[in-house]
Amino acid sequence: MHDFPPSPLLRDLTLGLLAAAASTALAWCAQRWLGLTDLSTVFIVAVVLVASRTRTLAAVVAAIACFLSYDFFFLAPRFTFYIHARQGVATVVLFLAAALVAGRLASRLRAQVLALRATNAHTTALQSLGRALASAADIDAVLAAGREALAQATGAEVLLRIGDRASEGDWGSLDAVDRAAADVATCESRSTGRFAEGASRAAWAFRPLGSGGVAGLRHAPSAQAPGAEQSRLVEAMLDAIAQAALRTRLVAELEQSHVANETERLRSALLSSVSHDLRSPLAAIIGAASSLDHYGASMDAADRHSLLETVRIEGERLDRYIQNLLDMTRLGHGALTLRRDWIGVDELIGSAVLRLRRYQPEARFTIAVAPGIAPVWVHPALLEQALFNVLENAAAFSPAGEPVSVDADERDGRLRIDIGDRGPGIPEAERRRIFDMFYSVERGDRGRNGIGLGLAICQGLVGAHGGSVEALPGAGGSGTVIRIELPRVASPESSAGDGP
Amino acid sequence: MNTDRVLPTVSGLPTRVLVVDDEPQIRRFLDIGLRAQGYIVTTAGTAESALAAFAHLGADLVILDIGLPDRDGHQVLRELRRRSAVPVILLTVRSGESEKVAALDAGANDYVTKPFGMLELMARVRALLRPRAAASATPETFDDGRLRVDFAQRSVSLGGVPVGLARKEFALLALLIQHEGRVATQPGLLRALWGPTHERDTHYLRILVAKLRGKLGDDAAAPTYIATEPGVGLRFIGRAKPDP
Repeated sequence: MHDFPPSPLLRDLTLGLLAAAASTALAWCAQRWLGLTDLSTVFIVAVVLVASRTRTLAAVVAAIACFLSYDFFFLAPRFTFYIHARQGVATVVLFLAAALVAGRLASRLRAQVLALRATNAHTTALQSLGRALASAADIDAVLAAGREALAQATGAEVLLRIGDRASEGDWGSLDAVDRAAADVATCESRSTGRFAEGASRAAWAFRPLGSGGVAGLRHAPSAQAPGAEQSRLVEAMLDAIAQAALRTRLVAELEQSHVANETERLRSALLSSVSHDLRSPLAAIIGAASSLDHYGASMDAADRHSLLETVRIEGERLDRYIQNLLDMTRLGHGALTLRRDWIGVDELIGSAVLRLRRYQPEARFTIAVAPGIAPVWVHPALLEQALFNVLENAAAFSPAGEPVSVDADERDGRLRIDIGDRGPGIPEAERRRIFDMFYSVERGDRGRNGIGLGLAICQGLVGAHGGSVEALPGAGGSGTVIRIELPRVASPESSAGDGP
Repeated sequence: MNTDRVLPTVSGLPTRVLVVDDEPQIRRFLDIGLRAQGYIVTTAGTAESALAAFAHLGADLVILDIGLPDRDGHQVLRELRRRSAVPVILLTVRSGESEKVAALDAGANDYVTKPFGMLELMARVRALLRPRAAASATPETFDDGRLRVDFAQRSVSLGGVPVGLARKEFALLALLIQHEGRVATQPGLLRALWGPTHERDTHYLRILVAKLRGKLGDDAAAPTYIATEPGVGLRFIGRAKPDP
């Protein structure tokens, strides 16, 4: 509770004497002005006060000094130390007893307060460490948080190491003795170095940190060995750090095995998809071309044309499939960088429709773009590809002669493009899954024209723009509507009313 | 689709096409396809042989693959441009809009994305050779029976009804018609219309082209005159409509 100056003995003596002097003055005043006869109470109060505020030694000094003053100044015969033996002994015993009892009480109280403060500091340190560790996502963050908390709690310089991961800090300042001590602490899981049993020349004190880890603390050279309380605190903190490290390691391992599983799954799905979806158009192309080559002379013009058309159509299908694979890889690697530019929604739709007509001249479209939709700030080619994929899908599912509807509108600052077909529709349970990369890859392109991947890619491309894609039942319950929604993003350099 | 054989150049000689691609199969089908249309074809598989062939034999049109084994196609393009203004069609791969724009700005006249059909390529080839076949200067009028543009008078009519275009709208239309069948890049249009400092102000162009389309009764979602190539530029498709 008190910060004692360098020489507590001198201070206690002074305090005792001062108390005696003050109580003498007070007693004299009391006798003279108040007519108090039993002045011993004044001195007892002084002794109790001193005892309660200081240590036992000061209290005893105060008790003796007060007794002597009382005897000298106030007991008859006054101004001599002579007193009646029985009365004198009783007074001395009384003074000393009061001093000791009050002193004991006071020092116990102080010890309790000190213990409480230590516990409090202990708890606070552990709590703040716990908070820091809870938010640590990986082992490096755990080490950094632990190092900081330990340094704060002990006032020492701290180094932490778990496995092959070391915290920041001046590892270079460890000499050979320190290193050896650290290694022993790591391998044998016991405290080594400074303050440890079997005194060492090491400047650092090392403690085991979990299994396979070590914590080094460098206290000031003059520092005493840490007390039991601080040892317990450091122990508890090291436990917490080791646990957090273990937790992050387990989480990382779990995540890694999860990613590995997913990758493995996607890879095998892709392999089977690639072997099927690349080979079937190739088979058709090679077959048609070799038929023409060998037997073309004996065919009529219509058959020859039909075979040639097969070559072209299958080649185009192959091209789109490869484009999908490339887009998917780009999305999967997060290598997609948006180069945003202004483009009209109607322009995007027009371009996608024109491109699709090249492959599917028989496809029909009814397009309705709400008037007054301002240009959007997007990556034009990517969004056009997303639209193309959905349009291609819708055209493939539409019965012959039935148009694909495209409706663009803007609501609450969100652009909405609905692409509807009059096809068989998608069962409720599958509406979400058609955008799933796994689902589409595993289902592959069987029979259809690159549809499998197209919607998943659309989802990825639109998602990269902060938008969303969903499948809804078509109007009147037949067919499907794919709805693309995009938030309006302001371009950095343009402002309202900034026109040509 | 018209397949008229606009073959002889002004001089009356057949048109010479230089095909540069490192893939023998691509060279072969281009050679066969172009010869079937009456062009005289020279092929080259490397940048070196392409430049040599151009120096010795000359060409009225170059079809140039961007990816060559010995040198970047862009370098070959720069080399060609240093020597002549011969029309160049680039063969590119998809998903490289900025690369296309860069190549077009560096002097290529148009591009075709691999894989492409012969019809698509021939449309580009004819669009590039047309002004040469007609006359050296730009024509004074454009008339497809519906849209009529008189460049000297700066007047436009649609189905015989005069259309009032603002100065910039007319300038844009004129630029696009000059590039008929070819793509006009966004930066190129912005430079021509607003000056080099506005090369990136693409929203100017979006607003202008929307106004122009509105006045021409052209729907961007189903264009008959001005088609957008997202991320690249605009293409006037007036006479080469995809629909019958």
